[in-house]
Amino acid sequence: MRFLRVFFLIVPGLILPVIALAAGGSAVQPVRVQAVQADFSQEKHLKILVRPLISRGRFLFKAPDSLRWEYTSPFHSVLLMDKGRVRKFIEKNGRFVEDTGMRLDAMQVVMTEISGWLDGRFTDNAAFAVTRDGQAVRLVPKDKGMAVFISAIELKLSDRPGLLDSVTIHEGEGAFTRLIFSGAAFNPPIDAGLFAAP
Amino acid sequence: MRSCCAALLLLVLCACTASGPPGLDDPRACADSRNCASAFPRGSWQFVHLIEFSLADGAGGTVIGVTVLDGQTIKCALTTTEGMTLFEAESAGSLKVLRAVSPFDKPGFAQGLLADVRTIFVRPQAAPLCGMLDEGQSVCRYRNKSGITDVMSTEDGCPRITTWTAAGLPDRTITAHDCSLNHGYQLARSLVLQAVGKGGYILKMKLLRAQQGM
Repeated sequence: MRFLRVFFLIVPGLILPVIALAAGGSAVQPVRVQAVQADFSQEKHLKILVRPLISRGRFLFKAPDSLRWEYTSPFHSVLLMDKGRVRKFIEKNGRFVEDTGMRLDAMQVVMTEISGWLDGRFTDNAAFAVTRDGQAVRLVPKDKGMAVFISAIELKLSDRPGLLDSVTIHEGEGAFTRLIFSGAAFNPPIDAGLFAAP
Repeated sequence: MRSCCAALLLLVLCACTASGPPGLDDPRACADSRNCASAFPRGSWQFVHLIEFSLADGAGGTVIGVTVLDGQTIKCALTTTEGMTLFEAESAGSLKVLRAVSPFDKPGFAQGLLADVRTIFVRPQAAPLCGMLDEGQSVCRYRNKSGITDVMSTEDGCPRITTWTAAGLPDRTITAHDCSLNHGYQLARSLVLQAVGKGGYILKMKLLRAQQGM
């Protein structure tokens, strides 16, 4: 499914370029990020919703190509990306079951994006047109295929270098997802097994 | 012998697929029946479910389903488990699709989804009749131009809803599990919807959140 492609293209890319941007200002300086870990809360807003949907979780990233994106509430699911392989698991009746109802053919693209951002080549990104105003960064997809899903992404940088306050993914009229991060740690030791299995 | 077997098989198949609802013994009007009323929510609600779907062709997956009920207005949405919007629509008499990405933009999908939502959450527009089936189970039956809806109770007190089309063909069956009375509604922690027919599918729905009086 393209949704997973878009998600994996966005999520790691949301965290890592901000680290580079926050550290380097407008003249982007590479920041060697080997690993990142943070908690997040996610608000899903839709035009039809009276109240937003709230999810919580954490993510782990380890360069060059390992990601664990885990929701802990209101249900438990894990997206794993390890050495170019993507899998998705959902906890059912106390055990994780792999959700195979998706295509995972976009990892090469994703990996290219991640490695580019890790090297501080954020403004050279082929996927997004990027503008910055102070602590606010706005990304607009260049690819029309992606623009079907995402109209723009707004990043809010923290006053503290290397930290990100929030990410807002705009999908269209009245539909957006806001990720708010907390408890970020850079380059923590991460067990490689966390990227291999839920 | 072979032709007899074929004829018998055809007879059995016909009996199974187009039998219509079973007959009701001692039918009586029961508009105020608590069992009838508690099968469907009243007032304004917002439900969020984790939905595991299985299609007849073997395909399947998991999505999040959102249903908002407010008077005669029904709003519904599907998102990925990560929150990306797949489908969004509302119906206040007429259906208006606000967003639908492939493959959720196929003809008939929105109507089918709305029919699922109506079957699960919306009391049919008809005065119910209560009666007994041959097996001795009490049933609350709604009949209108759209078809027939039977509401029964499972052994654990949850509603089981069965619908037939106006032509008497089996349509959908919904079985609720792990219910508790909430504002007069038998709120189920999980539901299984089975749509029969050529494009049959199964939805296993786990309640994530229910909010009343939005």
